[in-house]
Amino acid sequence: MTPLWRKAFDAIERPLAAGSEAWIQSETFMDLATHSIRIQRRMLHEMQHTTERWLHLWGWVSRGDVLRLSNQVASLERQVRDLRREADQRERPLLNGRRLG
Amino acid sequence: MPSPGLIERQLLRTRNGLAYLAGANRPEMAQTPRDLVWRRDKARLWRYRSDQRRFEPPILIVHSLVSKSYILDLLPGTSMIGYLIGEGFDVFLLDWIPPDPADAENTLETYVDEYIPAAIGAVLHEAAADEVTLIGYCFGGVLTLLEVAAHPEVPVRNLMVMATPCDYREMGFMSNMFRAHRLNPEDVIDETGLVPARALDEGFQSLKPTEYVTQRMNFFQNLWNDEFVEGFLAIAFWARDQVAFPGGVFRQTVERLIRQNALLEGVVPYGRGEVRLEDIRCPFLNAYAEQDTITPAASSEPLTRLVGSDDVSELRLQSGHIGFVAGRQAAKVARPQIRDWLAAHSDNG
Repeated sequence: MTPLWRKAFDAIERPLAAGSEAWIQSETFMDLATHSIRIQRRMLHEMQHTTERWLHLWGWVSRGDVLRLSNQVASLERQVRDLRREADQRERPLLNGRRLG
Repeated sequence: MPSPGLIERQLLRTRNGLAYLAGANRPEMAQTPRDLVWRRDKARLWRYRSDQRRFEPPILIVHSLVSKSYILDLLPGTSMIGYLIGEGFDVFLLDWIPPDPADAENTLETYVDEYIPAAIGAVLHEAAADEVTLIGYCFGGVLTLLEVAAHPEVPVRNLMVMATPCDYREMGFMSNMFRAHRLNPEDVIDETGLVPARALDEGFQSLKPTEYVTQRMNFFQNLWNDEFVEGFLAIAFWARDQVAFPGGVFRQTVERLIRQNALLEGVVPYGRGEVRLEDIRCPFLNAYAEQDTITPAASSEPLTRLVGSDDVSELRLQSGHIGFVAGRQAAKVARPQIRDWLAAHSDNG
């Protein structure tokens, strides 16, 4: 048997869920969400930029430095993958006329 | 088993509630024994151990890029993979280690032209088979559709997709934001070139804003029920355990699948040309869930008429996106139907 507290919750939640689902599909909400996402992103960027400059003043490593290094390593890893792919293509024999593995 | 009385229920609720608060009742997941049989970059191919394999060809499940694959083997008794093994299938799983910046430029072609064909080659080698049955779950279904359409030379006997999106107009709030050009991929791709897991999580949460509270209420109401608590905690843990998404694939998803709605058109820009879903000629099963809020049934449904196969089936199941592969209801209702289709399209050795 459904307890009373649950019946009360469902009575409130159902119309609220229907309303909120309709609301997030509305033009107004989408406009708000778009601006909110862009503002958040810009603020985060500004904050990181300021922090980075401040850290560099003291000769410390910032998150941006680590990211740049990490992206450089990633780029190297991609180059290694490309080279390995080329080597595989040359070395791998055809399997029943198909090149699968 | 009879339902416990009021007092017993309160005692059980207190015990389970305290265990939950102490973090002591986190379930053990992905328990089915398996072996890593092949690996390339972030792609891993697992073969599940079994001494009762009787169906051929082997099954290769291609997991989605947006979540972790243990949902397919969540708990003993509800594991989709465990069920298929128990029924006599030889099951392989292709899953993906969460991407890092080295994978940021991966595209659909990286998976479809490189990883999946190579994994199929490894399956054929491991199982000494000539063909595979390919199963794609969620976005993995998109990859398998492209695989079969783009590579007719790859020996796929059957193709089954589960909860796979096709009509992106039906995919809800985030999809609509990109479709209407309110957001561009670069608005969510971070400095590493990936879409952070947090952004995906927020996107899924936004599909049903009150779901979080409702789930907590269900949890509290059933806190006395050990079986419910175990299943709930496992699914809740998985649902928040999202992974980042490669920016390259994300840009293509937005441009081709969301804005052009290319899957619904049946023609997807691909590589330097295009692929056509009508080129999928093998037996095809489109399984989707009626109460799925992540990939709504209305999004998956059109696939049935878009493929070119003469042997097309459809399963419309009474469950949600996760319940489909991990719920106890799925174990009783959905899986036997999936099993029947797979068995009918396999050789019984």
